[in-house]
Amino acid sequence: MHNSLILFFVVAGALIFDFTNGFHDTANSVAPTIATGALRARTAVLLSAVLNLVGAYLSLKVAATIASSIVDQTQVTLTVVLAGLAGAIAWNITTWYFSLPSSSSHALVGGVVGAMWAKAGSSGILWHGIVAKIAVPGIIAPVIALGVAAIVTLLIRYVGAKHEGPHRALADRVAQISTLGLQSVAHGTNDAQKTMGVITLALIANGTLATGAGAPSWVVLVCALAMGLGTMTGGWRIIRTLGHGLTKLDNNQGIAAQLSSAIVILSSSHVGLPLSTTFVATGSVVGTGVATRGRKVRWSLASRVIAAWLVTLPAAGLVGALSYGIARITTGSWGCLILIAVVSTYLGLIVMRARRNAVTAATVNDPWKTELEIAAQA
Amino acid sequence: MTPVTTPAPSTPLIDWTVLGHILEYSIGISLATALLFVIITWGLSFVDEPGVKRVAGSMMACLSSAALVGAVAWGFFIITHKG
Repeated sequence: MHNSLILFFVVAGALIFDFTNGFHDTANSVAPTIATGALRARTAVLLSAVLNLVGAYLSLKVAATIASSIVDQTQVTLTVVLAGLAGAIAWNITTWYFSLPSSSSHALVGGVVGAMWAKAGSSGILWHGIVAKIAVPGIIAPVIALGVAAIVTLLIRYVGAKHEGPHRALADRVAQISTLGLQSVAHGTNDAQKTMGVITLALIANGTLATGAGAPSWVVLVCALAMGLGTMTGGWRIIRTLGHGLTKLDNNQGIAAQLSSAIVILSSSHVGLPLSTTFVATGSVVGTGVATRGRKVRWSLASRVIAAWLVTLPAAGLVGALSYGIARITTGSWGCLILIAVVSTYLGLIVMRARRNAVTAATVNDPWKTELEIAAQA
Repeated sequence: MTPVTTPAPSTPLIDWTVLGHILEYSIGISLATALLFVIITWGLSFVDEPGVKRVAGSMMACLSSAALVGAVAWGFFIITHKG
C-alpha cells in the first residue's frame, strides 16, 4: 500500500513535470514564428502542441538513459525519483516566472542527482556521465547554434536582397512553418520520452513491470497528452523573451533563427548527440542578432539567461536534496504527502504572483520594455 | 608473477569528431538550403516569360521545391528515428 501510494505520486509528479516541460519549451519552436507574424500566436502554439504529441508517439526507443548515465540505477528508489521530480518542477516554474528559457532536461537531471546525493552521497552519482552527457553538450549547443545562426542570417540577407517579390513572402512562411514543425516533433520525441523513461523506471522499481520492459501504451498516451497540453497552454512569458527580449527579430532573423535551430537539432540527432532544444533555440536567436547590423542583442538579459543555465543543475539539485529530506522526515507515506503539500503551495504562490503581470497571446508581441523603462513608467 | 592488466578504455568528455560532424552537417545543410532557395526564386522569376524559358523556370522551381520538401521529410525521419 505504501509503495503503491508513492508510485501514484511519482506518476502524477512525472506528468506534472511533463506538462511544465511542454509550456516551458513551447518558446523554442514558436517564438520567432510568432514574433515575425508568420503565424498567429494561438495557431502557432496549437500546431506545435499537435506536433509535440505526434513526436511523442513517433519515436521508437524509450529514453531511460537519463537515469542510467547520471545516477547509479541500483540505488534509485521511488522516493529519490519523486524528490528529483519535485526539484525539476520547482525550478521549471521558477524560471518560467522570471521569463527565462532554461533546459527542463537539466532541471530533471539536477533534481534526480540532488535527491540521490541526499540519499547515498556522491557514490550514487556518475560524475563522468553528468559532465560528458549534460554539462559539455550544454556549453557546446548554444555556441554551435550561435555560429550557424550567424552564417544563416548572412546567407538569408544575401539571398533575400536579390530575390524580393511576391513569391518571397510565401516562401518565408513555408520555411518558418516547416522548421517550427521539425523542432516541435524533435521536442516531443526527445522530452516526452524522458518522462516515459522515468515512469517506466518507477514501475520497474515497484515491481509492476519486469526489468528491461518497455513503456506500456498507457504511459506513452498520458505522457504525450501531458506534453501536448503543456505546449498548448503556451509559455507566453518565455516566448516573449525569445521573440522580443534578447533581440528584436525582423523577418529575415526570424527565418534564420528557426532554420538554424532546425538544422542544428537535425544535424546533432543525425550524428547521435541530440542537443537541448532550449540551448539551440536561444543560441540561434542571439546569433541572428549578432549577425545583423544595427540590431542590438540585449546582453544584460542574455547574461541572465546564461546565469540561469549555469545555476539550473545546482539549484534543481539543491531542491531535489531538500525534497528528499522532507520526504524522509517520517517513515511511510507521510513524508511524501508533506513534500507534495510544500511543492503544491509553492506552485500556487508562483502562479498567483505571475498573474499580476501576466503575458498572454494578446500581449506577447507588445514592444519590449527594459527594466529602466518599466521603473520610469512606474 | 604480476598479472598484466590493460587499462579500461575511457570515453572522452568531448568527442571532437562528433562535434566536427555536427558543424559540417549544419553548415552544409545551410548552404544547400540557401542554394535551393536561390534556384526556386530564380526559376519562379521566369514563370511570366513566354516559351521555353517559362517551362524551364517552372521545372527548375518544381524540382528544387521537391528537393526542399524531401529535405524536410528526411529531417522528420532523422528526428524520429535517431533523435
